[in-house]
Formats: sequence, C-alpha cells, structure tokens
Amino acid sequence: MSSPRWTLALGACACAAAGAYAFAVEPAGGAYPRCLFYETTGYYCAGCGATRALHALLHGRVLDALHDNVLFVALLPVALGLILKWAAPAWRENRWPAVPLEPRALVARGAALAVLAAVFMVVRNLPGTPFDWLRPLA
Amino acid sequence: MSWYYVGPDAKPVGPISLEDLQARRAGGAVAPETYVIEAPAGSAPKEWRRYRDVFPPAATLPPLPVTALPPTPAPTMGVPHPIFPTPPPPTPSPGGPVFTGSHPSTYYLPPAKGNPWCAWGFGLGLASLPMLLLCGTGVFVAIAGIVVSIVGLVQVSRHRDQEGRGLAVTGLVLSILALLCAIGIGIALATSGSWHTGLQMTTEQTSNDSDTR
Repeated sequence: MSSPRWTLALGACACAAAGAYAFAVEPAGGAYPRCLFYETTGYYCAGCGATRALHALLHGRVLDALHDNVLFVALLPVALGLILKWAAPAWRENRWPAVPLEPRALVARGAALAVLAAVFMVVRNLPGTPFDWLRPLA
Repeated sequence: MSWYYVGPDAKPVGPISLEDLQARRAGGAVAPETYVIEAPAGSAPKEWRRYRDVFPPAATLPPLPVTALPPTPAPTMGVPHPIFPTPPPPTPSPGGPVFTGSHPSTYYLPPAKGNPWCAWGFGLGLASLPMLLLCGTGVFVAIAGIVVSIVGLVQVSRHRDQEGRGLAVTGLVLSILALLCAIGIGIALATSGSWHTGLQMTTEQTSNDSDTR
C-alpha cells in the first residue's frame, strides 16, 4: 500500500477531489477558505480569486476565470505540466520521484515567481478602470 | 552484472541492470554527478565513482572503462553482498571514514554530503513567511517546513557524514514563526468578528466595527 505508485495515485485522487469540490460548490456561499490577507487588510493578494477562477474554468467560463485571477489561470497549465513531468517517470518505474534539488535554478525560479506575484498584487489593487479587470468578480 | 547508484536520501538503489541504469540516466533519476558502483556477481565491489567518470559523455558505451579493469578476486567468505561485502576494516584511521556498524550503507558513500531534507526545510521555511500574503497558503508551507526540517535534523544527527544542521534549524525557526503569525492573525480576526464576513478596511471603518453592515 505504501508503494510509490499507490502514493502517487492517492495524490492524484486528492487533486481530483479538490477539483470536484471546486466544480460542485458555488463560490458565493462562503464554502471556500477565505484569504487571510484580504480579511486583514482589505486588499487583494496575488492568489485572491483563484478558487473562483478554478470554479469558472471548470464550468467553461474562461473569460470569467481570467477576470478572477489571470495569474492563476496562466500558471495552472504550467504547474500541471511540471507536476506531470515530475511524476510520470516515477509512476512508470514505480519508484519515488526524484527530489529536484538544483538550488540555484530553484532559487532563481522562485524569486522570479515571487516578483511576478508581487507586481500582480500591486497592479490589481491600483484604483481605476483598467486595473479593476484584474480583480475578482464577486 | 548489476549496478547500484546513490538515490535520494543517500541510500543505494539496486541491483539494476546496466540498461536500466542508463535508462534512469536518460530519465533523469541518475545525474552525471550521481555515484554509481558496479557489483559483478562473485567479486567484491569496486569504488563508488561518479556516473560521468564511469561513462564519459563522448565515449560510446560498449567498451566500458570499468569492465576493462582486471576483476578482483572473489572474497573467500560467504555470499558477497555488493554494499556490505566484507567485514569492516579492523582499525579505521581516526581521520578516515568511521564505520559504526549500524549504517553499513554509508561506509562506501562519499563524505560530507548535504542532506536534502535540511535544504528543503530551509527553503520551505523561507517561503512560508511571504506566502502568508498569498491567501494564507504559507500556513501549509510552514507545517510542511516544520515536518521536513525535523526529518532533516533527525537524519543529520544519525549520519555523521551529512551536513545541513544549520539550514534545518533556520527552516524550523522560520516555519514556526510563520505559523505563529498565522495563528495570531486568525485569532485576531475571529475575536473581532470580521472572519467570514469580509473586512473592508476603509478610512471610516478604522474607528470601531459598529458601523453599517
């Protein structure tokens, strides 16, 4: 039961369950966890609207999803592709996935992502019309 | 003809065939820097060597440099285990590799290796504080950082030849700090009654929360 393939299958099931939850539950009801940063400051963080975007995406409303959180929608396929690329050989050979430990590349990519998120966070909180397109809908 | 290589968490993986080893090199599980060892049936293993030294990139595969070496005579006692083949050296030199008997697989491993759990614990701890700003997802990162750092600390304390204690301690402290911050914010929000209602902090609302709602 604790073989690599079982664990990977368990992870995939958890992701599928989260996706099913996001598909089935309406965001307006307050059934999603709320953003700690938004609750505290009233400003949107870089991840605000991600669950709403996922819900809209799963219902085929791509434009709504882009409106809710364009960064999340843009990064979702990248993240899914990277995870598949990381887990696929481990699944095929039934071994534990290799730990990606190249510190320099990891730090560089993490820093780039952090800068991107910070810029997005500032821009979506600016007043005015073109910027409120970056804020969640509801 | 079977091979071993040093997998993640510094444990030998094998025995695998030569083709399997090369397939794993192509698949990325074995890096050029990964230590590999050949364990021919019936003879003692040779030294751990880096993959790129055993298989130089330019060289074509069939004339292997390792197989060109003269075979070492088989040990006289028992069935040779490729990792733990012979009785430990009777008197290890003070500065050399210390064989404790409890971790035989570390005897042939390269010395002073950074523990990946410690590095990951540090990375998670470092990421947890800024990720608190990302919808509070830093909470999960902090919990993962605490677990991974503790695993790293335990491993480093068990394996003398691994480094990373400072990284793990730093990661642990940062993770706990992030978790405490999150708990404090959560308690403050819950007691102020703004949890699950959405606190729109505007200028007229900063006085008291007995306004329009």
